[in-house]
Amino acid sequence: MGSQYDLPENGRIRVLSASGSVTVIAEERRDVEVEPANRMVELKESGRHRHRHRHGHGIFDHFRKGGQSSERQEDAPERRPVLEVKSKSGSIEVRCPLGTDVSVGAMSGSVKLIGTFGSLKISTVSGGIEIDTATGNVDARCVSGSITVKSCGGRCDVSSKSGRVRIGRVEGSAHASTISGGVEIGTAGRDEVELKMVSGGAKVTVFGEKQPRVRFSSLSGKMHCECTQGSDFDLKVKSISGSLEVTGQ
Amino acid sequence: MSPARTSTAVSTVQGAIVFTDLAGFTEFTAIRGDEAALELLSVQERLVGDLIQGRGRVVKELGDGLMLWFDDPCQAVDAALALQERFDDQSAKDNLPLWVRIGVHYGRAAKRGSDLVGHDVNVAARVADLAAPGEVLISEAAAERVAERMEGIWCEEMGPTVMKGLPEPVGIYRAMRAG
Repeated sequence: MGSQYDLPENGRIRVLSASGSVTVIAEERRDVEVEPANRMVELKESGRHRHRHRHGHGIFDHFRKGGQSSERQEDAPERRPVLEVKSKSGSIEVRCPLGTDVSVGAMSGSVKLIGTFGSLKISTVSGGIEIDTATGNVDARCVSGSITVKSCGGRCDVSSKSGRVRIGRVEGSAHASTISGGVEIGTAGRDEVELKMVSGGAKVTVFGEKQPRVRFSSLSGKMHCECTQGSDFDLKVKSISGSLEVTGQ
Repeated sequence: MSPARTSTAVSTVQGAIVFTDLAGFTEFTAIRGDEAALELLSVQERLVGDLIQGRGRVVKELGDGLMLWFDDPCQAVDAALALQERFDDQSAKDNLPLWVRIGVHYGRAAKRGSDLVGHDVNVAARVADLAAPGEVLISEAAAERVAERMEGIWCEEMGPTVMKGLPEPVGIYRAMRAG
């Protein structure tokens, strides 16, 4: 049994781990449970202590000035309560309500997010990332390790230096990049998909009979497209030596 | 008898440290050959030289990457974004699937001849490590200074990152031109 904490309305969760695996489970509940119970847990505002905003003109106000597109406005950091969980070593498990926005910063160890979340921002140095479902946007990046996102309801930005990237299905735009791994992605075909790989190849599955406008650039890779090409969405793929395979479903 | 100790005063500077990395350079060289690789490095050198003239300097070359220094973090971020844009243009023009990954951090660095070393230099290198091809990532320390002074730059929060060898998490932002 772990320790229970109230998550304020509109609150999000941030988990920081120096070593050890991180598992976050979204389930039918109202509070947050952290196991083991001895981890440091603190309530903050936008990841900063409240007193740093005492002039009422914090860093995030400035950050929103430049934003033009509505998508980016939506992503702008808000002053929201953040329940921050810190772990120096050992595995940690956090259980939270369904639809919670979560960010995880981990150094070594895998990160798993099980269940349905809101928006996710996940980074690891060494260790894979596995994400079940996000109804909002996903940003997942790691230096070494593979990344899997089963389903993303918004924009999906994924980057791994050495490791594979798999996105089961993304509804919004997708940007995925790898240095030495391949990319597999399923898209609803409503928004742009941009893939950048150095040596890996890409497999793209297009759902719902959408027709991509494919732009493929490679020094030595080949393209094989089984889809009818059209203008439903842009599929931009660049790879130094990898090939591209596009299929419809 | 203990060895003689000499006390040396450490000279430090405060400003922005930028690391760049040419993603795909090794593969590019393997396919196109050494001559093309040298030509590509010359292109990078020319682009960087034009951009930093009068506002920063190349501290050192790191293979296909660079370490740059700027007194002003706004100049650093502006130059990083401009380098990214020019590299994109060049890459599109030559039909080359190549990208730069860039990391920017603001802090203090110790002088070692013309080189710069220290904790903040290491942080900048780690930030660049996390950048995706074609991306400019900046640390929270840099973002705080840029946000107050630069119009038209969008900094999207990526969340805190726990980095190897660094005791505290570093807040990371993705820098973009607005619009």
